[in-house]
Order: sequence, then structure tokens, then C-alpha cells
Amino acid sequence: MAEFERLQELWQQQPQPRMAPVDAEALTRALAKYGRRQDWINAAKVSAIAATMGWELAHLGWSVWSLAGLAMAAAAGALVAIDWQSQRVISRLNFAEPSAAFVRTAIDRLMEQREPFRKYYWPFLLVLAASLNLMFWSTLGSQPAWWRYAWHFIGSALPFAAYAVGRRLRIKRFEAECRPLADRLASVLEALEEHSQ
Amino acid sequence: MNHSERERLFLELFGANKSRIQRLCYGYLGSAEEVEDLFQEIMTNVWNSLPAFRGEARASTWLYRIAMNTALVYRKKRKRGEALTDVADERGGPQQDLEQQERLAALRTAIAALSDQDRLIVTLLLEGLSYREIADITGITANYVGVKISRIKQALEDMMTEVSHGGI
Repeated sequence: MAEFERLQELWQQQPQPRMAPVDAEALTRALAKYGRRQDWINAAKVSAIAATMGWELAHLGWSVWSLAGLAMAAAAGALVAIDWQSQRVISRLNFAEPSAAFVRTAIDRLMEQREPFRKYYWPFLLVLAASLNLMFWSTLGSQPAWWRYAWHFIGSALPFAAYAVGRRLRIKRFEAECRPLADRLASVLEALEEHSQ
Repeated sequence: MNHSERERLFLELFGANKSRIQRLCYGYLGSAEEVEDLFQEIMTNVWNSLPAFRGEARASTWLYRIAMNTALVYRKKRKRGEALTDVADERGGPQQDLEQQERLAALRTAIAALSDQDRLIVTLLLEGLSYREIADITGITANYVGVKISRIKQALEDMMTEVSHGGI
């Protein structure tokens, strides 16, 4: 075709395809679904923590072991509560009339789900390490020194190792649960920003 | 490839090729709603495939390959046997005069009448890709791409003539 080059030019200069308007209802529904899933997961975590605390009190009484165990369970419970609260905020976002700033905040909230406990890292791990060391200290008093040191080393390192494993699992969950939502929100944000230009 | 590297590469690819991929989607499907859907699907596949990107092919070729495969699967999945709707629209802005808009609409209508693979090939050609690049993306030989393109051009010319004479 002799004029194909002109068609090429015309094609490349055509205005950007207009994207469909934000499907607020679908987006709100998707976030609510995400919230319901998190509710189940968090409810299971809270039940497990409560069961652990109950068992400790019932079987160990007010011993050093049960107090240390309770401290660890309480720390874990606090993190679950913080996490649950931020997930509930995300699940209740309503996109009926979204602004770019609103969507940006929503994306930030979702992205925080990748590693939500970063700012509690040291307090949380120190409570776990101190509790474990307290447990070992109360039990291993009559053991040889090297044996006690070995266990204290394990007690100090274990929380950090467990956190690293938990973080990996969390990132996997983030990619499966939050990333698709964040991508959708990113395209909404882009559409809003283009519209405002 | 760590996460931040993956994110950086994704944003780079997205920024450099967004318009082209959108035009490809539009040329292939013709409906703005579906374009968005397909575009999202392509970008999701690009994100998921990034760790496997070794830089052996040019980034744009790699991206087009994913876009093309996603588009073909998308249509197979959602539009089994269904003909494309009329793609002519009034998207032309003030920068495009009426005659150009009509020519573009006629071109889109003609493209919509082609087979799935031919639609993608002609869209790639309209984007200015060489035969070699189209061959790399589609997985057919450059010679066969040449043969196909000359047939496609002829078909487009016939259809566009018919459109401009009120035949289509």
C-alpha cells in the first residue's frame, strides 16, 4: 500500500484510548473480600493465641514459664491487633468518588501490608528473646555453663530466625492478596491523574 | 532479581511502552472497556514474568511477545467465536481533523475484519516494528511475516476503499 507510511503516522498519533471510568463498586467489593479473608485469618490467630494463654495458665499456673509465655503471647496478640486494624481500614475504603490523594493513600496502606511490623521489629523481638531467655534461665540453673550458654544463644537467635521466616511468608501473601489490588489502584490513580491534567 | 529491582524495571517498561501497548490492545479489541481489561492482564503477566526476563531479547520485543500471547489467550477465553464489534468511534481530539478521524475509523474497521493473528501483526507493523522484530515476537519466520504483511496490506487497502465508498 503506497500510503501505508501515512497510515502508520496516523496510527501512532492517535489519541490515547479512553479508559473506562473507575468501577468503584467492583473495587470496593474486591477490598471488602480482601477484608473478609483477613478477618478469618486474624480470628484464627487470635483464637490460637488465646488458647495458648489459657493452656499456660491452666497447666503451668503463675510460674516463670507461664509468665514468659504470656508475655510472648501478649506481644504476638498486640501485633495481630495492629495488623487487623489496618486491614479493616483498607477493607472499608469506599471508592464511590475517589480523589488522586485518596487512592494514593489507599495504595500506601496496601503497600505497608508487605512488612507491617517493621516499626515494631525491635520491641517485639526483644520481648520474645527476653521471655525465652527467662524460661531457659529458670530451668537450666543446674546445667553446665556451656549448655546454658548454648540455650541462651538459641533463645536469643530463635525470634530473629522466626521473624525472617514469617516475613517471607508475609511477602508471599502480599503478592497473592495485596499486589493485584494495588495494581488496580495504581491504574485508577493513573487514570485520575491523566484526567486532572 | 530483588523486589526493588523488579519494581524499577517494571515501571521503566511501563513508562516506555504504555501507549504502544494500549494502542495494540485497542487495535486488537476495539472496545475501551475491554482494552482496560486486557491492558491490566498484560501488565499482570509482565510483572509475573519479570523474574524470568534475562535481557536476551530487547525489552520491548519481550514485552510485545507477552502482550501478544496474552491478547490471543484473552480473546480465546472471552470471545470464543464472537465477532468483534464495530470499532469506529469518536475518540479523535481537536488535534485530529475530521478526515483523519474518518481514515482512522476506516483503518480500525478494516483491522477488525482480519483474523486474530493478522490483527496483531498489522498493529505491530503500524507501530513501526521491522519484519525481523515482528517475526521475533510472533515466532514465525521473517519471510513468512513478509508474505503475510503483503497480503494484509492488500486486504486493508481493499477494505478501506470499500469503506470510503460506503461499502462497509
